[in-house]
Amino acid sequence: MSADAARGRRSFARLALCCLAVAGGAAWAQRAQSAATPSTRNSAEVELARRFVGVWQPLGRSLGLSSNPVLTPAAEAEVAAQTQRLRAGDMTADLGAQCVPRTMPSMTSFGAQEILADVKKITWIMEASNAIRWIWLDGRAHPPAEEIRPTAMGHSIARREGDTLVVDSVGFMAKSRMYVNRPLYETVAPSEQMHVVERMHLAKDGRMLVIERTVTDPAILAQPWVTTVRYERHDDWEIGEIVCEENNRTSDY
Amino acid sequence: MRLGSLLKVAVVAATTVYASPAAAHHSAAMYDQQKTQVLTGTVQEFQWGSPHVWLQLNVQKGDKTEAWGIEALNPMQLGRMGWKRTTFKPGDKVTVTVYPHRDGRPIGQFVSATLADGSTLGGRPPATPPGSEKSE
Repeated sequence: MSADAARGRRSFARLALCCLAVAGGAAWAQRAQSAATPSTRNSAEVELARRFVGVWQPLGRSLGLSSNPVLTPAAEAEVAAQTQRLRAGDMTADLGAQCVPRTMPSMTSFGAQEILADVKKITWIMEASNAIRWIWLDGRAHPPAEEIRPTAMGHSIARREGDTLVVDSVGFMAKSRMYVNRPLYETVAPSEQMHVVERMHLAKDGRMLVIERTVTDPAILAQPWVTTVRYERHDDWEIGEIVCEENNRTSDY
Repeated sequence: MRLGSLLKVAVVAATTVYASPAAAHHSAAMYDQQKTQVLTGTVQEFQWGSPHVWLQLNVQKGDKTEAWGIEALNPMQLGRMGWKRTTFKPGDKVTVTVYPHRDGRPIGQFVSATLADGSTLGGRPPATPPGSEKSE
């Protein structure tokens, strides 16, 4: 065998060893990941979540807020300034009308909502805002606070308590706006400490959905805000797109 | 709007007993909802889009034409009440009742309309009966 051929065989052998090592490593990583990944088997949470599948129209007032939050003095001052500008006809103070992303609790009680469920999550479509959220049913925890990416609808996980699904959400985005149930649609920004617990159950033989929302946020709420919304089932409706930026004529007001 | 569509509107209105109030993406504080104004004019344009549908209506006032903008709900909500992209067509002669803007500018919030064929059209869902949203 020539020296060149021998070098070639050694290189080939090294390459093959490398490939085996990479493949073995990948297999080990996959096993490790599957051990860490929460179960995707049908669980009690999935079974309950499937009962909520459908199109739901909130009842009551437009934003679906049944009570008023008690705001911190700083948040109250921000709202008062907005009220003053809105009363003077300055619609730029209505940040919702300016298509700024909005957050809980009104987002899920404002216009028609479609709830879908698969083997590991609820996918929740908020028609009037062209927004979407996901609620994990597979037993996972929230990501660590320092890793979570804040979003308008937060990171949501659920557990079952009898016929009630308890949804826990954190990781809200401070650039979003929360309606505070005032007549001129005043809003405040949540802090990244905002925490929302929703308790969902069906009533009227499945024709009504009831959700009690408890919102805490030390930066804007002086005490927990509990607001309940009831929905009527409308599975004959088709959900569609409503994009705030399409033809927003706020400047005409 | 044809008779069939009108019947559909009537059926939707009759069966949606617990329909929710409108989901608007802004306050309606700029409109005076204690006062209605009736406008008769010619459709310039019908903007069938979101977040709100707008009807542009030319209204003759003496020897001048006033260009009105009339804001309604969104295509999804209105579609559930029987509205279509073709409900108003340019050139249609229509009569529209609005809640006018408080400062007198020619814009208003849609309340109802009489269309070119004489049929009538609503655009606001019936209010939730008091207390019904609290029952289980």
